[in-house]
Amino acid sequence: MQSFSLELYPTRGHIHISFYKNVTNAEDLRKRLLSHDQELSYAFIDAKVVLDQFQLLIAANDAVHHELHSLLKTYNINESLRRFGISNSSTSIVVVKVGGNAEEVKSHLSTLIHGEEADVGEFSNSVDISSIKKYYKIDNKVTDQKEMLDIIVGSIAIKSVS
Amino acid sequence: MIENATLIKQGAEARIHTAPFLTRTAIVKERFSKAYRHPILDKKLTTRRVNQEARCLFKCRKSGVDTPALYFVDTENSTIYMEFVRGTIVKDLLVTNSVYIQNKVKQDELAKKIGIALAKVHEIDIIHGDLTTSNLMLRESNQSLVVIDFGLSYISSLPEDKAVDLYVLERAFLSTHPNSEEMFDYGDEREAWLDESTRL
Repeated sequence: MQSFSLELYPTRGHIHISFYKNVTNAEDLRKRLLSHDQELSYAFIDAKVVLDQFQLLIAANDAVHHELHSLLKTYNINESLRRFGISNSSTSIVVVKVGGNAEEVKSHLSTLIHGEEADVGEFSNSVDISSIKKYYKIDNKVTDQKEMLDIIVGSIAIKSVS
Repeated sequence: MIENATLIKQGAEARIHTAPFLTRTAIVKERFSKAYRHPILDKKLTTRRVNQEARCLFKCRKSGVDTPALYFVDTENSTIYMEFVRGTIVKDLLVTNSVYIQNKVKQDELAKKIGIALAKVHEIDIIHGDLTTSNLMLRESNQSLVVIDFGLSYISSLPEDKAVDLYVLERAFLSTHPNSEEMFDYGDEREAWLDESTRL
């Protein structure tokens, strides 16, 4: 697990990012999430749509910004959940948590998730470029991962404008 | 303002800071309010300009023009967070770098890069609005031409608007970089076009 600070919202706590591979209980986790299980107050993300930790940090920063300014325009998260959330067959999972104590988050996650915790830098191995290109509407000509990441974070940022 | 920000430039419309942002270094461009404007109108104009700038910047980036990557738009505080590009401003390059001052091949190479970048910008109907050599950079890592400052940019498909963009660039070149006329050598086509436009 790695923890990062939010320079814009220092009082909101740290962003904790964890990566698990060879997960066997995704179906159970998903069921609990859909039934609003309060114990799972984390973002469970399918690792195949995560290119880089910076993508997660930008998204988390945006989410905190919208939370603090009460700017949530929509409560329809169905599609986001389907695209970015875990599915029953997910085996590589990225977990993001805003706030909380790093040690507590880490040990709690290890009891929730049946799988191997891996280095955060490793999740780029399970990335599915074609899904990413589809969801972020990236031109097929773009092959460079750095350029792809630039477009991804831009797409997240521009959402609050358009 | 974000923690540990360093002011690097203060303009008429905005203040530019650099600051650590989510493991990277960001350029923080904050538009400030104008006391001479009615507060309601001021807020409306500033918000619109922030949004317009972010949209044009990102549209260019997405279409393959090298621009700073857009990181975050804080409409409430009229601030845009974007990539801090390491490189050299084209104006400085042409004024102080002896290679660019003397070597015509290098100049042609640069002019070509500028031309290609602007063609891409205009292709997607974006008018930069403030094309000067101060708003063009060469990226340190790969020598790619980076277009910056979309503060006056807007969307238009009118050839006249695109032409004004080019005219502004030409004037900027001629006034800041003496003897750069030959970079704008259009040949006979331009003469013919000018003849025709005077007739109209």
